[in-house]
Amino acid sequence: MTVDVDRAGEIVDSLFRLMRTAVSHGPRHPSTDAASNDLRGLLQGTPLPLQLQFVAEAVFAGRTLIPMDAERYARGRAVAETLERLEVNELTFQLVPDTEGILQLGQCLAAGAHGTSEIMQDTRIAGLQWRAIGSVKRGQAEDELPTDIFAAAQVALATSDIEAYADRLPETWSWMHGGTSVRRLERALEASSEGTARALEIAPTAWSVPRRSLSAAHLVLAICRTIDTTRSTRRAAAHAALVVAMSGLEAKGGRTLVAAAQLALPRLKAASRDTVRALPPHGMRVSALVSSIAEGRLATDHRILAPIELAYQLELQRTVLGADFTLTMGDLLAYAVGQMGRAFHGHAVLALIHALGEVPAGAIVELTDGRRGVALGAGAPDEPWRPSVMVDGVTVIPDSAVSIVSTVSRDGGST
Amino acid sequence: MAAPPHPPVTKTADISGVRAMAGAFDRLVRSSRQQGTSLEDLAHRVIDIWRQEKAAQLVLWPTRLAVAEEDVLQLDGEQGRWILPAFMAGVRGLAISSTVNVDDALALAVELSELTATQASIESFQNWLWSDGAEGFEVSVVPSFVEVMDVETSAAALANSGPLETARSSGLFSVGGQRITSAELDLAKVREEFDVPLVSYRAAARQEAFRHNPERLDQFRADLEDPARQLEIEIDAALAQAWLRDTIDAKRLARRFEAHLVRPLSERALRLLEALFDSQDEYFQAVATQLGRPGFAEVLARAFDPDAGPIGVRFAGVLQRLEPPSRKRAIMTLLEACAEDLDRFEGLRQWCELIDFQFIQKAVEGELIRPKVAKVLARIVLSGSPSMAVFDSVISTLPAMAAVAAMSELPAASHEQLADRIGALAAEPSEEVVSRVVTLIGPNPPVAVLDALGKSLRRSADGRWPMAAAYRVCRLLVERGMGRSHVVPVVRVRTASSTVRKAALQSLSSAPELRDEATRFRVSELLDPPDLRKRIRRSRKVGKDSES
Repeated sequence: MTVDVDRAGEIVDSLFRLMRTAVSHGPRHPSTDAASNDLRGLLQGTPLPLQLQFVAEAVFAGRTLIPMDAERYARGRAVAETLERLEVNELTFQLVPDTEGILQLGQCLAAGAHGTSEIMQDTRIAGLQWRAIGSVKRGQAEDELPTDIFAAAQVALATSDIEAYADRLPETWSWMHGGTSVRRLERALEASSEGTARALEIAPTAWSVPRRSLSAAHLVLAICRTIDTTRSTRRAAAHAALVVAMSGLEAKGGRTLVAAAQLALPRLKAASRDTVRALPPHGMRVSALVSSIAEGRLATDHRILAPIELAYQLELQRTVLGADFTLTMGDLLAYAVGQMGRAFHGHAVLALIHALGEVPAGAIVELTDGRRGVALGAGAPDEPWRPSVMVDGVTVIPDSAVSIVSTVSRDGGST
Repeated sequence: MAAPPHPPVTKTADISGVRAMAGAFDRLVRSSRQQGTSLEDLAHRVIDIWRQEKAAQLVLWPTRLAVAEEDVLQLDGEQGRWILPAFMAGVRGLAISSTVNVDDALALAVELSELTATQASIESFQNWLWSDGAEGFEVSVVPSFVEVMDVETSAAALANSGPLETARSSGLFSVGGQRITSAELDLAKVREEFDVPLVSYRAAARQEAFRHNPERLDQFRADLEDPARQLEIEIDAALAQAWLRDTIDAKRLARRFEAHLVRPLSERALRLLEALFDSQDEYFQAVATQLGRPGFAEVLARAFDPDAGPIGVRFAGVLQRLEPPSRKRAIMTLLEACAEDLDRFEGLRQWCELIDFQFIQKAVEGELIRPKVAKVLARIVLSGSPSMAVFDSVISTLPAMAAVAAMSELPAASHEQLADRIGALAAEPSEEVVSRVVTLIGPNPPVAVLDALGKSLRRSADGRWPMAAAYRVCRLLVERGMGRSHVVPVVRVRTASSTVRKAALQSLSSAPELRDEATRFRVSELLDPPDLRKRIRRSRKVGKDSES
């Protein structure tokens, strides 16, 4: 259902007026009645249900930002502050409440404005629902959420961004989708590198092309972070890996890296043709990297291509044509080490191992007592082969080094 | 409501300066939908003021701008209309970087002027920022309101769904997802390894083969980050993909060079520049034209380290390809940098030895060189050639103060060969120059120098000889037996200034014979200034009294 955000903005203004009149004159006053009628009138002309979220100093209608000017920003903040005291972040108008219900809402807002916090718990208003949004606190998300949840949420959003793009099978690369996905991965990694790797590797969904492509971008970011490249470099390399992987990977296996880049180029070209703005420096860098790969340049010519080559080749191996299983990151790291100095640049492989751990999240491992489980992340630096392991839904810290067991399918294809 | 996080602030003493800076930037944003040179002028002004304010950071709050916790601009009608949308997009601080140029300022102003507090606009702006669109600026960014909403609600949904709690404790990130069952795990045992050398992987780990070698890692990073290599990739791409040329015009590619190529200035970067300047391709010629501007030459010279050895010749090769004004700017920048940091002198001297000195000489001709810089230049000239003729030809092109400063690098013994130059400088219409020249010659100047200065004294009506300097020279002339030929005529001729004639007269007090000769009456004396006539009469009287 599309939301009329302008209309929602007027409703926020009206909520503010209701709150102010209720605070100034009390709930039983002609001014409050007028404000109440005004709000009812607006709701009557609005398609319902309407959800208003008061998050991050802004007001959203159905998770879409309501346009703001300075006045509305101030009004929205005032209502949000009051609702915050009442432990409410979301109001849902299922139906238009009757006049008494609106006046009750005004009374609650006035009580909240005066510092009362429990009043909403004992209030029922027909047609109106409210709730706190989980752990929402206004301010920066990273400051408020546990870092692993923040990372997981960013990975989930990045996945849905890139899957939404892939669903349309467009011939044009979306700088917006691609950039947003890489940005989300970047933020996830900044919050928790282990949480990010875990969210990507252990998600129970199939290893689809978007998921593998996102994983390729993640691997590039992880390598670049380990060797401490500049932000611009790692963003460009990760974005290039994403567009190449999205173009070249197939449900099983995929094309060669060069062929993938050759497929990616027309998409980038179309994107540049469609864009109103001039290509920003990042876009130029990404296009140049993809062009370089398509021209057959290798990491031996330009080291910046080394992480992209490695990440793409590993995701190519992830689901191999003719095999009914997928490789875990544990398998893939072992494969990369086997190809070190040949197919892959040695330092890129080492940087990746350093980033993910010798026993990375997602690796199937066997404990010394014979039990098997899934590694949940890198072990401590001095004991990398003792990662925490999930065995039958229970997290175990092994007493001694585990061993990696190869190739288990978890996408339902063969088991 | 939680206050937004404080971005770093820069303390500043003069609030009026930063207010002007904020006001100018706001005017630029508001005007940026218009076209024309006035906009460029405004952008220039913004950059100039911002630089004067030592690149102070503008801190964004929802409805105001602050610098060092002082409000400098309030949202008021059209004024500062961009502040709230920028704040909502996550911008918390804005400062110029050292590489900012007019195009950067205009680009940011256009983006901000088009920014509105709507979801689509914020997302688009945020993407532009993330894509290094705001080149030339240091933008401090936190997640936008829209991003925070996305993450908060997604995380809340995950948390409320229950399994996330499991995910948090066990690492399984799944919402109602499948668990890895024991049966699946068992498959690992029965399935053949798929070309995955796990055994050797484990063995390599045991041998600590995955340990980083910091030096080699640094080298890998340096190779990977090499800006020249990265620009090479971009240039190759622009060659191979014609459509890329349409999306990034020559001016903007040149900007990329300016911002990235010169840090650090490597031999590869210089080779790339040479190739660009030599290219016959129309697009790259246009890039080269942009790079040929004096501004880039200055950036290039700042990045050049004369101590870096072999790249010096290649650097000179790039300078050769620049137009004279740009070449001049580059050389001047090198000399200026050396004047401020004399530790750079030896490297610069060696670099100058590598190249034809005429190259430097031509570059500095007609430049307004500071005395400090002139001294560096003099040292370079003297180290390269002992010939005073060469030295004289160099200083002949310098402003007078710079020339005197350059001469101060010479040993006194060399002054004789430059007597005419010293005389010419003493004829400059500047008391400061003349004073410095007189100081420069020292207590025992060669006769040729005194002769030149004496002649200059006689022509001093056009110059600016201070009394003390004139007296000192006249005394030296008298002491060295040149009083009759040089000092007496000064007193008697009206081509010398009144001040100089007084000084000359005073200097003759210890030489009665010369004094009498100088004060002998002549009809033209009646036309001298009254105070001089008075002094001459008094001196004449002293002479007569001593005779009687």
